[in-house]
Amino acid sequence: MMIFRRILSSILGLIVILASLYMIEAASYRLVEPYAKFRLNLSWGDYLNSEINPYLSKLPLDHFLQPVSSSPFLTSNEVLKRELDYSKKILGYLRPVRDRVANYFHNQTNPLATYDIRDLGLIKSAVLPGLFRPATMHDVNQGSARRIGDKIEYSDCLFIYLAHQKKSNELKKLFISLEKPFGFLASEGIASVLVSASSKEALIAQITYLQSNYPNIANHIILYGQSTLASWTLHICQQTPGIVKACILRNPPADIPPPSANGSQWLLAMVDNDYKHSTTLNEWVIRSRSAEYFYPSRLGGLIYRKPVDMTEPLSSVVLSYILQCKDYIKEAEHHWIIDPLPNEPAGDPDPVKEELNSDQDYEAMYLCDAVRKYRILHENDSSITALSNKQLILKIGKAMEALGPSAYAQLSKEDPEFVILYQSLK
Amino acid sequence: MHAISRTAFLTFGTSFLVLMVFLGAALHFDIFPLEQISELIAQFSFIGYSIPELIGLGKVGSYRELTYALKMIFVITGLYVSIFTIGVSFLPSFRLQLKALSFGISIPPFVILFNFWVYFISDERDILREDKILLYLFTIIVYSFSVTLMWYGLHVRRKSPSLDSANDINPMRSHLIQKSIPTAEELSRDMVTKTHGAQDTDKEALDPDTKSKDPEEALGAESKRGETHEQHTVSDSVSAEPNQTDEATERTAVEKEAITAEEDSQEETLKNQKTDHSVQDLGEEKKEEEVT
Repeated sequence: MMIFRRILSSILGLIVILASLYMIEAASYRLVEPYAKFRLNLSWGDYLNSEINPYLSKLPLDHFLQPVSSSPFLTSNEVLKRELDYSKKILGYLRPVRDRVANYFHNQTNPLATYDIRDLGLIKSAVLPGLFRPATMHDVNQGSARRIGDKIEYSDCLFIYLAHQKKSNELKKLFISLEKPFGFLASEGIASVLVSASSKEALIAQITYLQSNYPNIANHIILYGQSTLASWTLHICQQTPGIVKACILRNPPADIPPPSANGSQWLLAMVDNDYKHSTTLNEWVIRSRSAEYFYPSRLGGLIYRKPVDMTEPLSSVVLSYILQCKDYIKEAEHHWIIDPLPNEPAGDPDPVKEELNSDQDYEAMYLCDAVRKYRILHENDSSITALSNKQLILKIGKAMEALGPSAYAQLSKEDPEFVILYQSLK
Repeated sequence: MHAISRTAFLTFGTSFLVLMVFLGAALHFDIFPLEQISELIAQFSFIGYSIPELIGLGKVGSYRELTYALKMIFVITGLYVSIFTIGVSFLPSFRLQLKALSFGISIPPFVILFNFWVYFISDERDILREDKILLYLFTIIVYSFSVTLMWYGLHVRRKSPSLDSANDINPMRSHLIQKSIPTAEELSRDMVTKTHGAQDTDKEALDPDTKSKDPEEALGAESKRGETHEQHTVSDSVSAEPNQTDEATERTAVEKEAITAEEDSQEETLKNQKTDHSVQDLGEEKKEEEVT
């Protein structure tokens, strides 16, 4: 009887100890951010690592889940379900960061009080993190600074929240609702801006304008858009791979073909419960995950189910993913490999300028209200009809500048898109 | 005490079982509206989790599901408590009953806590700082409570060797031990002989009064003291080994001879000391005379 009792007590004691250890470890992983990152680093290694930890990979940890691959035997719904499970588990280590975001949202009353809100040329009201660094020779050559050692304002990334072209009151309201996410991103060294675009061409022009005029702030761009704006974002990624480092899309449309290059950007698709999944999005995700290094090969392309209770325009999942992108960009900035697919037109590492030079492909891109009106006015003038939209923009712009600053300012008020396009071409 | 506890456990268990039957019947015939309670419970939340989630049942969609879950919880808890207490009442000792009770109480909170953590770890909800503190407190309190009770319930006391031998006494062995124990008369005789011989010599050397007096007188005084000392030492010497009285008597005879020899030698030394003192006194007197 005594022996039986001793055996029973030792077995139960062992169970209690094991259960306690499991609870402590799992609780630390769930609640303590440094531990979650430590475990991830232990499993995956550095950002530029392509091999996993051989010992830890034998344990049933979420980090070692294999990404979903396309299979002809699976229906699109089954693939979606698997993708959702995969992304939920693989992003599990970001839950402490999400708690931090939620805490920030809960406690902050005036989040942008300490940050500079400034116009970046034609792009209004950008929230800047207020980071400065001494200028290097590269900055001097680039024209960003006069001397080496001058103070240069910079940000780790630029987050662009896309919105449809709306009235200024509506944009102001939207900006107010985005104050907390923008404040949080600024506290992490990421500049944010709310951009309203009328077309995908205008959007490309705005991005090009920012990258050419503010390289220290807009060098790495992360885009966020939903529904139609998401389709514009996908178009940009497809046509000019590498211009955007990451895009976060809510309910992206399923009709846009995947890009012509692997690993050109990170992609997070947030989908609602009633989202109609297609194989095209799956291809997008798989191509985004096709990378040499371990981090992008696991986190580069994800489909995530939007939480039901998510009310904010930018959820904690999105913000935590942005932080992860930023960390990876900082480390692997010079190792970002865009792998063009065989039998398809190769993606240029810096394809934007070349694409802009080809007038035929991007004729529609430079069609703004001012050009349209100008063409209607000079409908019978063959010399004008022979000109491309790009050439017309340059011509009108120069003429307006020659007329004086007041005329140029009036035009910028009437058609800001024209001014953006002109500035990007000038 | 055991009879009282047994009665108490048995009464509690049976009455709880009967109460369960009555309440079950009341729920079955809708005399007792559980829906209102389920509404109240649904409104309650801890760290953003409802009671079914805290227990580990996961999310409950509608009130009907919640009511059903409550009924199940009620039935399982009631059966567990009543059957367990009835079972505890049949245990042979009060200490065992207490241990079983503490073990039985410790299991549900531990299982609930573990279930909740498994659910919480796989959940996607964001947790605020205040909620985290509450969660830590809740976990620490429930965990320490359940583990302490479990430890008490499962702890088997290790027996010390002395206790083991005391418990393992059998009648045959005890009879042998009784035989080997000396009688009081034997012990007193032994002690008288022992103390009479040994202690006199010690006292003589230590007591300063005996030095100044005549050695024979000192011995008489010591024998008186020895008698009083005997009374103390008898009680102490019970633990000493008996059954050695013959050897002791022989030893005392030898010791007596040794004592007499020592007495003679002491007398001689005293005489010598006296003569030395007188010689020294004479030498000093002579020196004083010469100085004068």
